[in-house]
Formats: sequence, C-alpha cells, structure tokens
Amino acid sequence: MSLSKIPYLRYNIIDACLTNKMHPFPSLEFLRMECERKLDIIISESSILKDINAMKTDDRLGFDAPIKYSKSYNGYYYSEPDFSIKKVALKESEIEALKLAVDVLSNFSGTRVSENFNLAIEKVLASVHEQFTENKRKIIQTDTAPNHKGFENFEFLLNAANTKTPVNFIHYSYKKRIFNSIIVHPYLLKEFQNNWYLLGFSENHKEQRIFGLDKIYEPLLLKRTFITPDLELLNHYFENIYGVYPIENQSLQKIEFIVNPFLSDYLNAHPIHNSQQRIKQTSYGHAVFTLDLIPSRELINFFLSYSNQLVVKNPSWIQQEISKHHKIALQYEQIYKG
Amino acid sequence: MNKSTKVSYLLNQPKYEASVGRPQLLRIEFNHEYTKIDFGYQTTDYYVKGGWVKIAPITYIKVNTNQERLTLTNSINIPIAPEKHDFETKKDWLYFSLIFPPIKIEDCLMDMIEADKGEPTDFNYYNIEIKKSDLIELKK
Repeated sequence: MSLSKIPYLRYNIIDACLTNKMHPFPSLEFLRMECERKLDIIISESSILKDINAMKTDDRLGFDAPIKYSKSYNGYYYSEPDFSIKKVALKESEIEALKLAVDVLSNFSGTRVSENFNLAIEKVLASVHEQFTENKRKIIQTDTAPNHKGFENFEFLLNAANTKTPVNFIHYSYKKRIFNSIIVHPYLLKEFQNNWYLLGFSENHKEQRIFGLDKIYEPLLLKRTFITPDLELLNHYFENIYGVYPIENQSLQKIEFIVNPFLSDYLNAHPIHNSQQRIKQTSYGHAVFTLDLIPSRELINFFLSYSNQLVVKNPSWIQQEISKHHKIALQYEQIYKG
Repeated sequence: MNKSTKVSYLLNQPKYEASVGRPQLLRIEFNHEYTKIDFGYQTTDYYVKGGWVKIAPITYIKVNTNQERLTLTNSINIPIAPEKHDFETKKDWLYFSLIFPPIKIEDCLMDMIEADKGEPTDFNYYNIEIKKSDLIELKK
C-alpha cells in the first residue's frame, strides 16, 4: 500500500468511529486502537491527534470536519450530527485530476478492454461531462445505487479473488434470518442490476455458492490452501442464468410466455437474455417468447413485475409459483388494509 | 512500524454452552493484542418491539488453564451499560463484537461471563472449546 494512502484510511476509520451511533464519543485511545486493529500497524495517539486536526483544518483535504471534544464523555464527536467526510464533495482540483484520468481511460476504451469496462468508462465520462456543462443544468443522469450496503468490502474481496486467498466473513440471511460465519474460496464478483455478489466455493456448504455483498460483514483473509475452481464450469456459470440465484434442482429448460403488444415491443428492444426468441405473433401484436435458461429467483421476479402484461405457458411449475405469489400479495393487501 | 511478528488466528463457529435465545457466538479472533469475539443476534417475539441490548462493562473471559479474569476492553456495535440499544421491531438483527485482552493460545475451555450467577438473559457463555488444531492463521 502506498504511504500516501494510509492517512486517508485513518481518516475513514476515524470518520466511521465518529458516525457510529452505537458507540458515541469514542476516546482518543479507542480511535488509536481501531486504526491499529484495522490497518495492522502501530499508531501513536499523537498521530491520531494530527489526523483529527487535519480533518478539521487542512485546506488540501477540504473536509472542514466539525470535530469537537466532550469533556463529560471523554471522547470526540461531530457537532453536526449528520456530518461524514464521505459526504464531502470533490474539490475543483480533484475534478480536474479526475477529468485528466478519464481522458487517459477513454483512450483505452474500445477494443482493448472488456465491455463492462467500456460501460464503466462511459458512465464516468457521462458524469464528468455532465458536471462541466456550462449552464450547470443536469442533462445526463446515470443509474446509481443509493448507499448500497456491503460495497465497502468490494476491493477487499476483489483482491482476495485475484490473489486466490480464502476468506472468512459473517453472513446474514434476510430470508432465513440467521447469522453464519462462512469460509469461502472466492472466484469472482458479479454485478446484476446494480447489486454485487461474490461467487466462490463455500466450505460450510461444500459447494459453489453466491453471496450478496450487502450480507457480508468483516471479511478476513485466511492462510489456507485455495480450492481452485473448474475454470470451464466457472466461465459458463452465469451463461444460462438470468440473475444470480438459480432455483435449486432446476436444470436448463425452455421457458415459454405470452406477452401483450406493449411488452412485446419492449422485449424486442431490450432482450433479457441471449437465448430470448419471439416465436409467434398475432395480428393484434400479442407475441409468444421463449428463453433457454436455468430458472432463477430473478427470473420469477421479472415475470411477477410484468404479471399484468404476460402469462407463462411453460413450464407449469413457474405458472404455479407466480399464482402462489399473487395469492400471497392478495393476503398482504388484506392484512395491510386492516 | 509494521507489526510483522503479530500472528492472528481465527476460530470459526466454536462449540459452546449458553442459555437459549442468547446471541449466537460466531467466531473468535486471537492475537497478541486482543481477543475479539463476534456475535449475531435476532430479536424474538418475546418483547413488543424486540427489546434492547447492552453489555456490562465487567464482562470478562477466563480460560480453565488459568483462572485470571480478563475484563472487556472494548465493544463494537453494542453499547456498554448503562447505555443500551433499543430495537424497533421483533424482526431486528444485530452483529456485534466484544474485545478482551489477549489469551495464551493453547487447547483449553474458555468462559465469557457477563454476570456471575447471572440470569438466563445475561450473556454468559461456558466451555467455549479452543483447540489449536481448529485455528486458522489469518493473512495480513
């Protein structure tokens, strides 16, 4: 890690302590210990004091952090309760630097990098162009994920997958409402509709599993022999899935559904998968589509989201699954109407 | 200065004894500076809005090979009493950590005690099984 990066990491740790409502008024000693624990280097209290001072007054940083000391609680706090250095906007000089970096990146865009990277660059370019529009009117808006949990571990997990290092993390399942401490051999990070997921071999489950980053807490790197994936299987893992969570015990199958004219036009413009085909169309514009997929939770959700415009013909179990969800939705409606 | 001599170990999902409904002890991190115990808790139907949670400052750990009590030095994501965290629903959940002084790494049984002769609602964990062969070295 570059030396210049370390102060920023400390600023972030101090900021996280000061914004943690579960542990208000952290003491100087607490801040020092947290920095030591998370960075694994020895840090003196005087360094922390310098960091606090820099966060408050250093113009180059531009945080202007309203950090105060409470004698009665013997600890530090932000006098503006909603303050966080994460909310501080980019400075003019930083935007200039970003523009330069984007120029460099845009030279690489095209044939030399992946499609995803091109898309990422397009987003950055779009954002920067948007920032510098003379009349300051917002004329480009890219899709952003508002404050998604778990993204703070993205770089850590990416690095673990890249260096083939097993990880341990705490996982919380929203559906089962249980915690688990899991050991995973990380293979790849996958994005689907602005959410990120980790695919890897889970020692707990003794199989390849996928975990939403929003459910992963405090990952640790393990000195342990890495279980190498079958590259052929891995490279094709998501090929036949719409989304990330395949439904258990389901194999690749043909899925047939009828849609109204509006959705037919929409799906023609935005196919949801490479296997999508329109196999029939009536003179009124209704159409029959097919997909060759391993059914997934996300596919069911897709059908549900358009259930006033489509009917699944085959397989019948998907029809039944959708009917079941409709019944549950009606029950909820009754409950909430009270 | 880099603490290159420091070796940390993970004990994943240790065996232990505790009253029903206590937070789940998920993992323990050992090194020469501290012992960090991670817990997960889901509120239940027992309280109207899920109840509340806090940890007594006198909470300690003790291993059976050495009766020394090592008192809580820090907590993460759980207030130290008399402060408390009020849950809002019967479906809330909380991940939190308790930090104690380091212990000698050896085969032993460890207790974590919030209250001696405590109530079933106290965070008392007994006979947490520590086996050197179960420890996994952490990578820096």
